[in-house]
Amino acid sequence: MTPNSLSLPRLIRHDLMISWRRLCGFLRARTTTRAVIVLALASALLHLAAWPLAAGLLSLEARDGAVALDGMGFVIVLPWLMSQGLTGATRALYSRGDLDLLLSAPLSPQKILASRASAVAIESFGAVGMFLLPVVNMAALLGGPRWLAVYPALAAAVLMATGVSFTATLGLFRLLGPKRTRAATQVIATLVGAWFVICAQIFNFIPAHDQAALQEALAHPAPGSWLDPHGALWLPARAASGEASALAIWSLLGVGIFVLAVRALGPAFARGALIAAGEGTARGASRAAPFRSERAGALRRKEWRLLARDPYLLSQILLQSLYTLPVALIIWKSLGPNGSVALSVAPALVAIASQLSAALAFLAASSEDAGDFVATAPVAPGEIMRRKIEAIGVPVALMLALPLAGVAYASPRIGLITLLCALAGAASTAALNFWKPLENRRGDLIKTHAQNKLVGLVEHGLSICWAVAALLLCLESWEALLPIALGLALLRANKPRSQSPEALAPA
Amino acid sequence: MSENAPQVSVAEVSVADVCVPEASRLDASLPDALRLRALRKSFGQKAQQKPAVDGLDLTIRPGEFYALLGANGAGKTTTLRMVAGLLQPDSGKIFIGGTDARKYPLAAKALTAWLPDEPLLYDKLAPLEYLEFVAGLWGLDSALAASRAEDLLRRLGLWEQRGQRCEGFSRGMRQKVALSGALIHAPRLLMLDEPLTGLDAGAARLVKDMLAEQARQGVAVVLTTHILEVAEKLADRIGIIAHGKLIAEGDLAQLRRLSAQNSAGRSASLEDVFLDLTARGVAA
Repeated sequence: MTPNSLSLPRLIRHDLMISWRRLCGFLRARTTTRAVIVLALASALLHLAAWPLAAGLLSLEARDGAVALDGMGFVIVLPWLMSQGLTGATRALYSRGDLDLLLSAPLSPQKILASRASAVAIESFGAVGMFLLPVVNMAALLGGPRWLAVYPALAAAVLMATGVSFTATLGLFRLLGPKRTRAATQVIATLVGAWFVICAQIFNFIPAHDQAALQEALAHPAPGSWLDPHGALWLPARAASGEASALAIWSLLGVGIFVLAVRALGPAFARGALIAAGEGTARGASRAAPFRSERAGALRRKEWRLLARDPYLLSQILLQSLYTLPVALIIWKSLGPNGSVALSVAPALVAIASQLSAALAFLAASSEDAGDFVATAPVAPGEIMRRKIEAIGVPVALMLALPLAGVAYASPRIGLITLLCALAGAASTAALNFWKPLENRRGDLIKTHAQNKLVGLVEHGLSICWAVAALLLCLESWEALLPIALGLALLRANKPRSQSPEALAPA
Repeated sequence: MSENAPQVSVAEVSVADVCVPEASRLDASLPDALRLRALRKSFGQKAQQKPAVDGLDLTIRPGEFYALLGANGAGKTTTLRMVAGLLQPDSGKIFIGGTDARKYPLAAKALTAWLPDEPLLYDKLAPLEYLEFVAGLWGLDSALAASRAEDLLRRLGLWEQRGQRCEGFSRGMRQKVALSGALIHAPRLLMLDEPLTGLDAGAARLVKDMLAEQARQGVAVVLTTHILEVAEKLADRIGIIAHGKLIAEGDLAQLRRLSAQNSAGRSASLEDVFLDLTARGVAA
């Protein structure tokens, strides 16, 4: 390393300062004091909410043992950390920010990667710890200090997940190239992250006799089997439960993987960042598609091209769809042995249609890069809006056509209700996004509604209203009128009262 | 400004004084490319409203190359944004090619192109895709648009990059893509806000040549620039704006006559004239 270059702690401090300011922006806190107050309040609330959960965990610990409980915890937390790590590694590789400055400075690639990876690790620890550690603190208060071993165990897990994430991201970069890696890591991070939600549901869907068998196997595992808590697989659980030797090995493993990854991958990271910077100019130079300037088609095609090229869209749609699936399973299970699959899928499809339409409408309405330019064109604002709606309607219809056809085949009545509610939900959330456009940049779908959380809440509210209405209509319940009325009331409350005189175009 | 100093206002430069560079392209039978009458726009709360454009009168003929100069915040960009239909004037009239732009905005926009100082592009679109979209917005025939797109991209040296996304382009390349978007629909009024920012010497020369050619073909070109040499060399007429008012207008010779710099007995540069007139205009 260059002897006089910036020290690693100062580099890390610089990265953390940037992360902190990003967090302040997310919290809409103008000053550090305000951000600290918001976080302290949130932490206090989370500690209060964690109290009953911690009490429940202590009774589970008494029944199944600390290692089994922590093992279950790690099944949930590790994918979450991996998802955070993959997202952070991708951002570190592709975000320009001050990377050009660092790469042009007399700093070794290892040092740059070490600072970036440390910042990602600390961010991951903060994001996961914000929700996990209040439970741990409450459990420590109620059940004793052994719970505090979760802190170092979590820190080691974060370091390990970060090291593995950077290795995986740079491996994919080499394998797939710069263009596909970003999309691939986003999708993988989404799937891995969704595993957390699916994990939380898995146990509920195991048949009762299998649940009992699993509990028995956990309580009395066969020596040497994968359920044996003395095996290597259970090392993190033993570390979190406070076993000193396991904690030492787990911590060494975490630090070792992190340091190895940083030392070995520094040059590859620097090369990758430089290649990623030239991604825009490295694309194919020719374009075979015919030049078609028919107005309606040109307006729709532009929206489709931009949607297809959004790096976060695919992963976000996948995430929303995956998060909706457990709802269908819960409904299916609650309907009992005579329950209809079509009935259980209907509200999930309505929710997916609403969320998908919302995401696409957000991109079309709030992420218009050249709104002022479009406003100078001799096209009525209404026509631009119509073409945008058409453009987002097609992918929504394409995505839902097959499952809707399946539902209609199983039950034409439920199929019709699902179709109507999906249309209503998609139209409602799209209208909301067109009525309440936000100042944003395309590619920031991941920050959807970070600037206006109320719009985000209303969007989810509309989605839930139409999904519940679909379920109740399928059950032929008059109470379906209530969510429909609530949804319409939400829409009415958000409808703009008058057009601003400056708003000559929707973009 | 002293009391004895001549008052400089638009009224002092009569139509007869205005230089008519090439009568053939400034066809008097055609309607004015741009006519502004008593145009006003203020910003801020009602109690503390500050006029950005204050009763502006301006006439630009087809084929005329007009440079609108002024200090930062003088009202140049606000004026162009109102003409482009991006801001509603508080009062006044805007006629583009004889069409009342406030009454018939779409008809007026069909004749106009506006190129802002910060190129408005889609990072995820390639130049050819961008031009296809722009051609669609202006409703051009596909074959004509394709041929114009190829011609423009070749002339601006972007043909090889036609399939690459704009996100990796330099400022100058982005400016050239935006310029090709402004020209593809063959506007009758071309408004450019600092069009040479970020261009290298070769590209700046190319753009200047293309703008001059547009004017020769009968397009009214209005540009704002801080590079006074460009205005001095290219513009048929120069307007100087301060505090939202046109304080002087004419060709360079006329502006020199209006300026106190004449008394120095030397041929003042546009920079000298501009600084003198704006200082006196502001003081007035």
